Amino acid sequence: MPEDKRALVERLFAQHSGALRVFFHRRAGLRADASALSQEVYLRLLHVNHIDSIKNPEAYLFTVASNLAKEQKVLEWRRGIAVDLNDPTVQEQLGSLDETGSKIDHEHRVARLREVLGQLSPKCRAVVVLQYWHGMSYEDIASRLGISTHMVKKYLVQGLGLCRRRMARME
Amino acid sequence: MNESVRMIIARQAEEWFVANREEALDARKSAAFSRWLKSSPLHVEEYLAITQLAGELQAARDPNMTAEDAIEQARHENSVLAAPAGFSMSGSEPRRRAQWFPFAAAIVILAGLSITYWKWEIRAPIAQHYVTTHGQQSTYRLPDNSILRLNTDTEIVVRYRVNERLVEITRGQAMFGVVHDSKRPFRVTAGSAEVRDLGTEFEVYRQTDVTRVTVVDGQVSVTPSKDAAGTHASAWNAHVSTGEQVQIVAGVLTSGPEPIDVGRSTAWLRRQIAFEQQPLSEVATEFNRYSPTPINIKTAALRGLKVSGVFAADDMESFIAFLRSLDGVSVELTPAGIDVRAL
Repeated sequence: MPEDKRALVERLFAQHSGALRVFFHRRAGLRADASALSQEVYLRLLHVNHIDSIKNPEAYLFTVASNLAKEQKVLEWRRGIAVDLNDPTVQEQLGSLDETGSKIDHEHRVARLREVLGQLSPKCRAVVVLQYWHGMSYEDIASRLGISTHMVKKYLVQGLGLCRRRMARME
Repeated sequence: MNESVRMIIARQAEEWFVANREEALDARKSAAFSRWLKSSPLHVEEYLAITQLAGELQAARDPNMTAEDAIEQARHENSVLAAPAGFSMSGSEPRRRAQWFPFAAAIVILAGLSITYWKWEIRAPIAQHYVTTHGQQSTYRLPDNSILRLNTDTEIVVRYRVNERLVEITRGQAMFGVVHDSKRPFRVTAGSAEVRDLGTEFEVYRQTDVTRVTVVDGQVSVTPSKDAAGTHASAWNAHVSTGEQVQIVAGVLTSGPEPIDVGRSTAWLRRQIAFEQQPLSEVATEFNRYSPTPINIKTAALRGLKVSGVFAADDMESFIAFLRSLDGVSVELTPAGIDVRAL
């Protein structure tokens, strides 16, 4: 059962990653925009009556954020010219609108991330690589490296934190 | 407490993200995660940012590196969880750069105005007034290239002479990025305190009774102001260094120098209000410094309620939503302001 739920989250995560990338392309480009969007996501989270009883808050957060990113895109498009949103050509253009700009930025960041990964300690890098490149579970990683799952999580937090700080310097 | 609030929240975001990837959280942890997300918009932003980073990590996959390669490399390392070279939680370098960014932007914007200031300096010492109204913030470049940044409701008088630079804070809060000049000391008076710069970036907050001095980078010397010295026999001189703060009441050093969270103290530079386990009454006072509609806490018992979060100073809507999400708290919008009561 937990396996099913985990798979569901992974699927949601994959579905929304495009929208989230557009969302955070703004963060890198125009920090104030990303903060404003985060505030909007936050407000929507709080407007749900029983958020504490939501089974999977993370999946819910991703849904709210990506819906908002899409809405935002429609709004920006509307500001430019009046168009028929039901027109399939317009729909298609909307889908690729921000991708072009964010793509260069994305490729640049990915190249830099490879460098940062090389700076992690071998064990920390192995844990990050096995999780994010090979999709291994924490338990599998733990048994392959002969460490506890607790340590696997520690290495992941350490690795993510270092990547985040190093990447923040290039923003 | 050397980390800024944002660093702490980012770290928590990483921990929650890693926990969420392990397996579905149980009901108790899931509720705790919801509460964490609801703490403030910054919590949401940092969580989405770490999600994004993990997505980029997946995209950075090197097809030539197999799982076996990674495991093999890890075997050659001893089992200690070693911090990689250059790993530093205090990370003062990027933060300092981030704090200087608004100043740098201001320099570009204000460069055109410097000629005007230069003319003004020739005619010195004329008192130059800098004022911000309720909710306003402004940045200025002074004739010596020092930067002056004013927070809401602040009034400052600057007098530049050949042998000294005098700044008086009549009311409010200001940040100084001072260009050091040993022949021309930079002195700031605020209430009963006087601050003498020794080459630095520091903030002075003059409240009704209390004057607070925070050093972001460098060192300052703080003494009672001349007015206060007249009424108090004992003279003192406190050296305040990077990351430290002092408080002065009626010419007396009441606290410090002690290390504090500079990120939280200077959150206003980013137009943010940051609070960590602070009483609701103090947080409301902070918001009221910016907002046209005041928050009134009607139930006395709620004043001491400890809250944490980071909000944009002008984002009252999010803060009201946050208050409404707290157990046993009701919020009512009236023409006179925002009334907060216990349910």
